[in-house]
Amino acid sequence: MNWRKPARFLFKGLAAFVVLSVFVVLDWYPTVKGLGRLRHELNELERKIRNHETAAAKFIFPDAEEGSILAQSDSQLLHALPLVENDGAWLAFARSELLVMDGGLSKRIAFFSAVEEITPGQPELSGWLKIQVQDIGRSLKLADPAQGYPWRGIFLLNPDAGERLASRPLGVAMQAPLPALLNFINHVSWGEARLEIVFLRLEPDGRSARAWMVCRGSYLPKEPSAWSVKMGTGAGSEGLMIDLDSPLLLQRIDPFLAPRIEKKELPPAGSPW
Amino acid sequence: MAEQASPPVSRHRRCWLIFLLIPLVAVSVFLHAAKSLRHRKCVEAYKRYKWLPVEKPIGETKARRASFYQLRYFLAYPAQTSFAAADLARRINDIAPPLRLLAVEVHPALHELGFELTVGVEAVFQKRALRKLDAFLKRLANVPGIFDIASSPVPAPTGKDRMRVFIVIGHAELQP
Repeated sequence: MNWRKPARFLFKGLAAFVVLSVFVVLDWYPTVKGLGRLRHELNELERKIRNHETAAAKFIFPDAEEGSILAQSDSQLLHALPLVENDGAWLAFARSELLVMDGGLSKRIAFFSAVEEITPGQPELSGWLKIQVQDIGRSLKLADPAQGYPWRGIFLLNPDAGERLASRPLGVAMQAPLPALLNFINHVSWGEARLEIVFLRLEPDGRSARAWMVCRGSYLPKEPSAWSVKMGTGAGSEGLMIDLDSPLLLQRIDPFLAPRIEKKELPPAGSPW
Repeated sequence: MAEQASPPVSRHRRCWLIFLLIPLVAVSVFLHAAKSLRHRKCVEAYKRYKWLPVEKPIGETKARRASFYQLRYFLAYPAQTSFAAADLARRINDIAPPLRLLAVEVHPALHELGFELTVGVEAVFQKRALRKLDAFLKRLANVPGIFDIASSPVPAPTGKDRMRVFIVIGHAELQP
C-alpha cells in the first residue's frame, strides 16, 4: 500500500516532535530558567563580596580612643532625656522651663497640649488662636508619636525591664515685639526638655508680633505613659536617613565631622548673613 | 518472504527512536551538569559572603559608628532647628519691605525646613504687583540656603488698601 509509507513518515515526525516537546517543556526549559536564576544569584553574591573586599581595604579598625568616644556617646544618650514620674510631670516641667527661660515674657506666653485647652487667657492671643484651631489641631497630630516618631531607631530601651520612652506635643503661643519673639523661638529648645519645633506660625506684621508653635518633647517616664513610643527601627520615610555605604563609616569617628551640639544666639536685626 | 523480512524493519523502527533520544538526553545531561556546577559555585560564594563579616567585624563597627552619628544628629537637632526657624523668619522679615510679610509658617523636617510665606503687595495694577513680587523672590533666592521657591498666581486685590496677597513656598537647608 502506497499510503503506508507517508503515514509512517508522518507518524515518526509527529512522535519525534512530541518527544522533543516533552524534553523541552519538562526538562530543558526549567533547567535553563534555573541556570539563569543561579547566574543572577552568583553575580549578585560576587558583587557583594567585591564591594565588601574593597570596603575592607579602606576600612580603618577602631582604636582605644574611638572606643572611649563611643562609650561616652552611649552615656550621653542615657542622660539626654529628662527622667520624670509621668506625662503630667513632664508637661509641668517643660512649661516651667519655658517660663523661667525668658522670665520677662512669661506673662505673654500661653500653653496648650490639645485644641480644647485653647481657652480665654489673654484676649487678643486666645482669639487669634481660636481662628487657627484647625491648623493647630493638625500640627498637634503631627507631633503625636502614634503618627510617627523620627528617632525610633536611636533608643534601644527594654520595655520588659521597665524602660519607657514617651513623646508628646506641647503648644506654645506668644505675643511680643519681633526681636524678643524670635529670641524666644530660638531658645525654646535650649532647656532640658529638648523641645523640637514641629510647626511654627509667626505673624510679624503690626506693632506686636505673635506666634504659635507646636513642639515635640521626648522623655523617660517612670509610670506607663499614654504617649509612649513603640520601640524598633525607624520605619520608612519617618526615620533618619543613614547611608551605610558612606565612606565616613569606614574611618575612625571624628567628633569634628559629627553634627555640633551648640546653642547659638541670633544675630541682631539687620546684621549681614 | 514478507515474514522473514520483518525483523530488520522492526529494529530499524526502534533505531530511529534511540537515535532521537540520545542527543536529547545528552543535552539534558549537559544542562543538569551546568546547573549543578553553578549551584555549587553559588553555595561556595554564599559561604564566603556569609563568613566575611565574622572574619572582619566591619558591619558591626559601621553600625556603631552610624548610631554615633545618629545620636549626635538627635542631640544637635532641636537647637539647630529652633535657631534655623528663628533665623529664617528674621532674614525674610529683613528683606520683605516694601512688601508686607503677613505670616511665616515653618515646618521643619529632619534634613530641611519647609516654609510658607503670606505676603501682601499694595498695587492696584497687576503688572506692578508682579514686578514687586518678582523683586522680592529674587531677594529671597539670594538668601543663603534657600531653594525651591514658588509663588501662587496673581490674586485679585482685596480690602481697603487694595492689597494683593500672595503665597510663597520654599525650602531652607538645615545643617546640624
